[in-house]
Amino acid sequence: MNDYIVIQREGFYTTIQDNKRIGYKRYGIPESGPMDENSYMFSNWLVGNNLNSEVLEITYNGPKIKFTFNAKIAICGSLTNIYLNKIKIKMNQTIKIKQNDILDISSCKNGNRVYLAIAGKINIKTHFNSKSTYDKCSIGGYKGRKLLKNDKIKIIANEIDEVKKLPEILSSKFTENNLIRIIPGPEYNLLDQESKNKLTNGFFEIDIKSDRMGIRLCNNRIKLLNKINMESSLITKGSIQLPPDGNPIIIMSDGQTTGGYPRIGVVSKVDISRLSQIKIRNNIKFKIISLRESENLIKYNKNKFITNLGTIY
Amino acid sequence: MVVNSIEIKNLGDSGILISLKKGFGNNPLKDINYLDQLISNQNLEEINDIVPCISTLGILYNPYKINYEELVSKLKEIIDKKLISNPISSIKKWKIPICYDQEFGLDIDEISNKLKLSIKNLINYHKQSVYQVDMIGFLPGFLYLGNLNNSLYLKRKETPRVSVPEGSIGIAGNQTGIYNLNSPGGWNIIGRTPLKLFSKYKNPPIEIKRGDNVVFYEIKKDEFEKIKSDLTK
Repeated sequence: MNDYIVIQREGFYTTIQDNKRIGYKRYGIPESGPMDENSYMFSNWLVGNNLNSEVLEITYNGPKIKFTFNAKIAICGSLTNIYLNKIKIKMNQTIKIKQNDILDISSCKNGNRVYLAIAGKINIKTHFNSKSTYDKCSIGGYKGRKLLKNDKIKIIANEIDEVKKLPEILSSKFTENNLIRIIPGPEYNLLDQESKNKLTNGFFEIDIKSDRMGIRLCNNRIKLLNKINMESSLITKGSIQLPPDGNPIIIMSDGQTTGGYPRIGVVSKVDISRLSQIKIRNNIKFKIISLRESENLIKYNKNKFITNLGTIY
Repeated sequence: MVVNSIEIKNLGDSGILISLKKGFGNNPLKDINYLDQLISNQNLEEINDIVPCISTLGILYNPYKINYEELVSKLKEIIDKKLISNPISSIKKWKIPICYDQEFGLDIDEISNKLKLSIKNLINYHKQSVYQVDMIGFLPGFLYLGNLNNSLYLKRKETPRVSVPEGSIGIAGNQTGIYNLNSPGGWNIIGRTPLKLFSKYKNPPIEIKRGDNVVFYEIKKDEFEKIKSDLTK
């Protein structure tokens, strides 16, 4: 009954996220949800939750959390040192927590975020069909905001016996590959040949201003053939917008719902999770693939998930 | 409407954009609303979200459940069957108070200079039109209103404001827009409404619909303050 997690140190930026907010883009409300959808899904699987359940998304530097109950948890995502009562514990597997244990999550090493799933439910209300936090409008999550020191959040714990390990084939190796596959966007042909070459031959640096709204790229400006006055239209997670300054922005979970900048490309669904973990100031490179190729990769991933997890969300 | 009159494109591997081919349909506002209703009514489990934009309909789908080609043929079938003959929603007319006082019309002097129009004239042009809601998007509750008087055509500000106050009404291109939340923004701010048109505590959070009409009526600063304080009571 008195099952809580208590935030003893808040860390950089931790929010509650579930799958995503569906059906509210027509009111201008973004989908939110986890930046790294794969690590999010794996953490839920390890604790026996539905794969679209709510978890804590932890950015850069983690929080210190006290558990007032016996729990089962799992942490997936960026390599990070994690301590339970000052003893280092492993990621990517189910961990038993005892009443009054203290979990201390330090800085993300090779990525940006980790996902902490707790067996059971986080007892917060859904807002517009989702528990995902969208703090720009104080929607969802715990009080519509990031977690702060002394927050006490009620958990409806689920007793599970099974202890699982994430199959090796699924564990992400973020920094080894910064090649991101993209599908040409509706306005790709507004680029001249030189810009098209720059888009795929050049390296883009991830700008420090990147956040849950978008990954901002710099150091490789792309020019449009002509300046056009484009009508605002749908943008999705992974859409690469090109503002007049030539520095592309990749729209992410909290990104705006529509936009008036040319969409020169869209990141393949299979590379979005890896992209979200590439650290600020690192370089990425784009490779163009066709829609058909991207769909084949999705099919491959789907089979891999179903084989190893038994399900998918 | 027939399948031959629309154009379907992919937006990456999880999005679809439907637009009307040139020469078909003379009312994108009505036609897109119609397509939206046709497809929304099917409640397809593969579709995550349907977003009516100015003259396109955006669809987000789950690529683990269906691929682009399969979904396109499903959509074409739905459109061909025309299960609804006419858009059912009626068009509402909203009367929205606006105060053009310089305290709220943050850019009104600049607009007047750039357009070489007196403040009085530009206010008259702005409040004379019957606007139509072209789209809700970009930010929560942001209203794009079409049918702005041609003499008010002005580009967005070179440097967007870091924070535009809630209720601000701006002009940009051939549209006027309402910011229903404090947010950054690049529109030229001409005035402000004391009304709260977007509420995260209501579902849906905004009553005004795409396709509705909006007219503005001018109020003075004291009326603005009165409406505002009546609302908070």
